[in-house]
Amino acid sequence: MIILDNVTKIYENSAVGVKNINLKIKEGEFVFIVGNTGSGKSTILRLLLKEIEPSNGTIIIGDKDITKMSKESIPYFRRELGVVFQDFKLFENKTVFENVAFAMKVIEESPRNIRRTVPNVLSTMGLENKARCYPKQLSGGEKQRTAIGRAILNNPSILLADEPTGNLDPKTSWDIMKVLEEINKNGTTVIVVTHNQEIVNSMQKRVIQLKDAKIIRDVVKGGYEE
Amino acid sequence: MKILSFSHFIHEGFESIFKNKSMAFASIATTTVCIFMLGIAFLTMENIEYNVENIETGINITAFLDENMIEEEIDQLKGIILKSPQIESIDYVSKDEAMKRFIGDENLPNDPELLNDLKEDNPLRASFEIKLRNNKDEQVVIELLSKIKQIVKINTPKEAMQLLINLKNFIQATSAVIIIILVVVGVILIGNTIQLTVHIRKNEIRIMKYIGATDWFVRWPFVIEGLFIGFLGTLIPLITLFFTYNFFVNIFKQALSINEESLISFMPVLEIYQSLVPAALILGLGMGIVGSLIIIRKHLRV
Ligand SMILES: Nc1ncnc2c1ncn2[C@@H]1O[C@H](COP(=O)(O)OP(=O)(O)O)[C@@H](O)[C@H]1O
Ligand SMILES: [Mg+2]
Repeated sequence: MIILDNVTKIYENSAVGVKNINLKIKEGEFVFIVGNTGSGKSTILRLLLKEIEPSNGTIIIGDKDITKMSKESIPYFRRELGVVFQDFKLFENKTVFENVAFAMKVIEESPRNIRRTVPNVLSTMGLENKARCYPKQLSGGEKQRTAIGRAILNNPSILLADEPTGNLDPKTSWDIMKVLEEINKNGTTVIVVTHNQEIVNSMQKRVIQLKDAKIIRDVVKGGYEE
Repeated sequence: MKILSFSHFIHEGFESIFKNKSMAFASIATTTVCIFMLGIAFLTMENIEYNVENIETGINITAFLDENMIEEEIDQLKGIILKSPQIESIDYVSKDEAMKRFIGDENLPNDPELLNDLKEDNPLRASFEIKLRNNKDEQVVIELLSKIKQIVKINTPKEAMQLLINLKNFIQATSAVIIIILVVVGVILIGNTIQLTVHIRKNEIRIMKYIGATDWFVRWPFVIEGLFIGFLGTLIPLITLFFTYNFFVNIFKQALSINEESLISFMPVLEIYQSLVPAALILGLGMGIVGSLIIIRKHLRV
């Protein structure tokens, strides 16, 4: 369960990130967050990642109030989340295998475990033949699959995706969205920020629409706009 | 920290050095210069102190005796003075001996007539050359001696000594200041190098933090990079100084025309290195660690 209770984020330059957000997302849900540029979508994801602190309100993830979490426990908290971005954020000097494996290195898993687990995830992502490639040798879709592979490697309970198809062509965007849906079917809560109207309209998932830092629409099954 | 992660950190740290060879080279060069200067200051200081100590322990108080004393009286007096615990030994220098020493002085004009006159009517006094157990007791002993009637004059090396001690303190303070400045400069320069690496890897640090890396997981490769830079930057000047020390000592000896009998002598390099190596390593490695930690600190707030 994710609960945002009256959450406001005012940035240091007094820009309003989000204002008085009330939101509940149940375990295993698939949620689209839509809205214009600057409406506060990324701010919500960054609050959930504890990359930024809310100016007001409380955020509960699972059974933890993350606004009261100590600095030392942030890394361990983040290991229960997966996150992917529009720009993939891959290590350019590491291969696909190493990029994915890094998520396990960070949590100090044994090389044996890493060698056993990573190939499974690569094949789930359809990247078996790309294991030794570097990011610059990959297509956009393959890069995003690598990033998703890294994000789900440690079986997170929540996957956050900030415009994951923003740099991809329509067909590849569909592929990636199908991958995210598949991950959701296996029980992971998936929250996707997107501008892709066609996909949102056809998938008929829960849609939360933001405008000027506020939620203006929250429907259980819906399209990109009313 | 697990062993497995340690090998990961070493790998990452070295990879970063080889990816940024020129920057790594620049900081190794900087550290080398710092430690080189430290080494030179250290070698100089150690030798000065060594010689000051030598001179300090070799110095006597000279007490001149009343001309009218006869041998027995002199022996008696010597026995009395020797009883005080601060005094280690007393050498009696008779009038004749004093004259012999005086004439033996190479700097005297070689005028046989004058020397003959001097021998016939010896103007020099007999004296005790008193060696102390500890130079600190000098004042006590002087007071004691000045109470004895038969002692007409006391010469102490006090002023010369004080000059030497002042010189030693001055050199010590100056090198301390120079070394502190060098260390600060070194830390800043190493910090700059690592800052470049950190800058190149800023995105990577962000990604690591998103994935749930602890601060130390992110830090270790940079610390190892700094340690390696500091280590090489210490090793190079230490080895260089080790093999050039004797060469420079010989140049000094020639320049100052110092021979075997001279009061001034140089410490063997191995003896100095017993304290220089740990000092240089602590400083060099410390500079590397501090440089890397300071820089990375501000990039960890993701
Ligand atoms: N780091 C920041 N510092 C200051 N203002 C910010 C920062 N990040 C976002 N904002 C502001 O907060 C508002 C919401 O931004 P964001 O959440 O990134 O919107 P979206 O992802 O929907 O495009 C915008 O007005 C933006 O300018
Ligand atoms: Mg955004």
